Amino acid sequence: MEKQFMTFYIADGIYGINILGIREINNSRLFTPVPLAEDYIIGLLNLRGQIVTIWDTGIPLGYPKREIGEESSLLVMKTNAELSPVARKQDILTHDSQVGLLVDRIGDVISCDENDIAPVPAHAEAEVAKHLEGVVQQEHTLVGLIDVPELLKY
Amino acid sequence: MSEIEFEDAELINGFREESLEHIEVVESKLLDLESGGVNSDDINEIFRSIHTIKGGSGFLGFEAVKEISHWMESLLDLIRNGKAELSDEAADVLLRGTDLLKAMLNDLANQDQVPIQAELEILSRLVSGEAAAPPAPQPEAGAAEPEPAEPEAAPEQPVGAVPLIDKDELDKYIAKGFNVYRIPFVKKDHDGKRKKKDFQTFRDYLNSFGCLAWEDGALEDADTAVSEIVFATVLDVDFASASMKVKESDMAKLSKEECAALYASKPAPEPAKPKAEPRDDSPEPAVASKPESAPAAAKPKAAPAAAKDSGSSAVAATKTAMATMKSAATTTVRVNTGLLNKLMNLAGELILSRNQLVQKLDNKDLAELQSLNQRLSELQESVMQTRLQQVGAVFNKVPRMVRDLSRALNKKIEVVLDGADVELDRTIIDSITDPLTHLVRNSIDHGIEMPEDRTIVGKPAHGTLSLRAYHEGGQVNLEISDDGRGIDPEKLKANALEKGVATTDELENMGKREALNLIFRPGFSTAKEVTEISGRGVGMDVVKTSFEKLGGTVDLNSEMGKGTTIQVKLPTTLAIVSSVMISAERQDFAIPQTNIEEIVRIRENEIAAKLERVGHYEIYRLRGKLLPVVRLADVLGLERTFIDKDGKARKDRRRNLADRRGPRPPEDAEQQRRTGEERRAYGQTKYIVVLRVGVNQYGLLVDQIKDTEEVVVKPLSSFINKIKVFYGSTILGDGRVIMIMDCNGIANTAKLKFDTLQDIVDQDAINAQAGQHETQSMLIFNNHPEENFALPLSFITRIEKVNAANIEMIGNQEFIQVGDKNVPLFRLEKKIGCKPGVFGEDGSFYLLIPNMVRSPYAIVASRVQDVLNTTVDVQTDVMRQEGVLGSAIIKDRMTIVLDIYGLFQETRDAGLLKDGQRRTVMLVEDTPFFRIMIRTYLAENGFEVVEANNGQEAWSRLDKGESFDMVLSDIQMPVMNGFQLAAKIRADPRFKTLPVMAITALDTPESIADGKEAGFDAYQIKLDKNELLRTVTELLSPEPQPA
Repeated sequence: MEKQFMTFYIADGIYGINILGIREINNSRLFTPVPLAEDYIIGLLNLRGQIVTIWDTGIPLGYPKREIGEESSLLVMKTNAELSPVARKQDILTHDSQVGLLVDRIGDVISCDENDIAPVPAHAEAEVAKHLEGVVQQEHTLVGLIDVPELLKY
Repeated sequence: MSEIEFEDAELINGFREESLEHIEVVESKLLDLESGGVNSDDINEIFRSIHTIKGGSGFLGFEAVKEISHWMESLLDLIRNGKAELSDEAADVLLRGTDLLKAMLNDLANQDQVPIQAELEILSRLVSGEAAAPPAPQPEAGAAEPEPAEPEAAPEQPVGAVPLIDKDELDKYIAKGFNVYRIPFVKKDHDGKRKKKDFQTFRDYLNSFGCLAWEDGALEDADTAVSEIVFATVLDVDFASASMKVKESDMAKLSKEECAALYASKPAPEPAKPKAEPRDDSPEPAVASKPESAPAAAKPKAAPAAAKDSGSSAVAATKTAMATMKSAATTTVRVNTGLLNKLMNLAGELILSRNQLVQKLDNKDLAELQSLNQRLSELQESVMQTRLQQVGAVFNKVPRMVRDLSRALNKKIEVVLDGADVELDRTIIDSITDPLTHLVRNSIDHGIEMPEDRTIVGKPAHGTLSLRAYHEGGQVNLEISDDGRGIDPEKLKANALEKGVATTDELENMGKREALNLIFRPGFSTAKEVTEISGRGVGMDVVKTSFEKLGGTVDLNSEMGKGTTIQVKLPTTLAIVSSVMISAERQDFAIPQTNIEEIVRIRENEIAAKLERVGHYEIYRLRGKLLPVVRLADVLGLERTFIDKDGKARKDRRRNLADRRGPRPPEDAEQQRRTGEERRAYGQTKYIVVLRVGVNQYGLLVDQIKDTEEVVVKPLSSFINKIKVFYGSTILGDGRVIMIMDCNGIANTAKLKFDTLQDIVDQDAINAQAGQHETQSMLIFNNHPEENFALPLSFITRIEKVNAANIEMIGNQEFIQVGDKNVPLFRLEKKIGCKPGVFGEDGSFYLLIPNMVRSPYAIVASRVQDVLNTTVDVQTDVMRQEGVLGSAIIKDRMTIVLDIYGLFQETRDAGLLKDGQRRTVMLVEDTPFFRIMIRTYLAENGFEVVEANNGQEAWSRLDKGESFDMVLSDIQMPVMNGFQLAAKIRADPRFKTLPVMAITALDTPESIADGKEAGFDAYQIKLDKNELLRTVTELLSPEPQPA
């Protein structure tokens, strides 16, 4: 079965998230910081009346805290309740709360067959590897496919 | 039977909810009837409610529910037909019946486990009448009632598209309030249930919970899946459609005329045998289950003719009752709360879309946009209202409880309910039931005396317990008061000491109100013995915490011998919280207003002097009380900065507020009197928000107070809901997300331990009286160089430097010109025994112009030394004379502390004003919070306060000729703002001399200029109590005039 992933960059790493789990891509910067929150929580965003918790996606993936740059973008995820039947059929899950993942830069949408998804290479750091559901070879790079519910358990 | 069909869970839930609502009605109506006598409307309503429960339970197979409701119905029927009396016994058993029903409905799976035998016996005895011995209704009923549709009867009916009962019979059902539906009956949906219930045919099955009037001939035909039927039942459309497993849209409800038409088009019914009681009453105890139509024989003691007559009138009554019920049903509808939440969100989103639109339109102030705004806020408000429920839902439980308890205790108690229609959030209503019940129980048990005791003290034998709900200042107040014996604060104190919930020192300084509120401390209970009624292991502390969890507060007041009143303040909704916006380190937060006691303004350069460091805490002395102060920025781990003289934010390296490394307070007296603008430019103004958590208070130091706003609380996502300092988040009108603070959480996070504070209080008590330790700004000056004098700086309006050469003598009195006024001089040596003043070589000296006294005099000082923030320990016994408070050691020198009132021989009473006359201040303020706060300040100091909500209201009162001594007005108000009001007052010759003062949160130089232009005599920033009082007093005092 063919799957589609939205790719994005954290530093020089390239990652992908199944597009069926994504609600929208947003460039808002109006985050309200939450004092005392964990370092991976950047803040809260008002997205048309809904409050979205914004994550620094790099931290669970082993990167230092990110600066918000020119090209930084927000992947706003669908909540579990908002997932389409198609997504559910494919066992895609996100989270019960509204979550936005802040990334350094948005890439392309890639398609690949289910069978092209390889397991995470053994040399990857275990802490990081558990947030990935696999990798897929794209041209000359490996795209790490994010296991969203697992990442959000960080 | 306990056979529950779990696939019908939804149906059963519907039945339960509906039935419980009916029970509520029945209970309250029964109590009404008991006190107010029988009236047919109420009886009919009770009857109908019980009847409906019976119908539903019969259908669902809850036999025990059916049985008890059946017997209650029978008794009620006799009562409404005047054949039985609503005796005490009858009322009792009916009320007990409702209790049983309630218990059964709440646990339907075990409904048959509830013991109902005792009640059934009484009911059946009452139904059968006083003369008859308890009859055996079962066989009688079995014989009397025509057997409905025996299984074997079915084959006898010719199968075909013909009516099964005749038109008259169907009409009878309609008259009884049955609904007739035409339904496509899908057999397989019911087959399981039919077999389970052991019915051979669908017809019997249907007749077991209604009356099958007509079928298309396919009902019993095994080959046909769907049969069209006409079916009469007491069930309403929604319930019927659920029970028939047919969509509501597929069901046609037939009117009487439509039924008639049905019969007209069909052949005459086959000679029907007198069938037809629908079997919603089981045959066994079925005496008079449908009393108005059942054969008279089924009703013991009722003559057939009479039964018929009264029967028909009852039919009419039931019919009208049914009609009213129908109309009531259409005005309410059950809606899923999820849907309401969605509506709420959508309303919020609409507002944001509107904001974006406004920006696109370049912020044009279009009338259309304003109307859109209006509609949007109305929409939001309306959606919010759907969450509200009347407080009557709780109140109405009280009369019953009082009735039962007062009987048990042999007391006579009347209940007065007021404001049952006041609305509160559903979740709040649910949570206040228990604590409120507890309070009522307490009042009955401990508050209200026995009738004979009451008579002795000259009170009516009847005690009165009243429950009142009303709105005030955006909150809902609940008052539970009794006219009982009241609570003795001294006894409470003794009790508290004995139980170790308070210390001796603490109790010594305790006022009556505080003492009374000891009752809410954990570990305290007034009952000497734990009685069954009020002692259920729940203390008043639990009551208090339950209210506080909801963001409410509790206060108790009591007059010995007169009664006790408990006042509970609650927010109307948990979803909308009235909040004060504050900021710390340029981040905004919201604090729920219910937690805020007051706000104290503090200048940054005073912080070091006014906050003491004690152990881990910083303490502010608020009117002699110790207030631990938490700096919000610290709790939140925000980086401290301070605004430097050049206006730039810099990191602040001081570890705590009381650290004296901060900007030194200026020591030159004149500098102390800088104008407001200068002060703001240099030391920023900060605020201590005084918060209440439970019995304790603490201060939260914040940088700014902004406006108040009603915010919609949005719960925190699971990623951040462990952070206890936050209660939720919200989206402001401008689209920003901000966090709402949880005041309890802040105290916990800051690790405030109020117990340790107690030690500090104790320490203080050893040292001296707490009040004398309050730091004061003292002006130190000389008259003769060898003698130091001190006066509290707050008593001095200003200091003028003058020259002795300008002194003029008029008689024995010296005058000097200051500005355009001649001011009489006051020389200390003339009043108190001190050395005469010595002026400087150039003849210059200082005039201290006092305030808070009406005297026109200015005190002569040769030199002004210093202004010190100091705790002064005044020895009062050294120099006892008028005008001298005592002596103190200040900066290692003996200093004479002056008493300004004594100097000028003025009295201290009547507030700050000397002339003893109560001055009336009109306070114009739209925010209830500030209104109350300012009112309290003024009232405490002897002013009469009249309130107005906005400029328009204020103006119309002035215009009508009401007389005030001054007007104190907010600036930002609806309808007419403060500027407009001031301009209006100034423009009217009648109010030429009326002082007008602004008190506002607007502190920009422009707005101050605007204020002056509009005609305000004074302009003050919210809210410094002392400064407020000083300014008000100043404005009300006549100008100093030469004597």
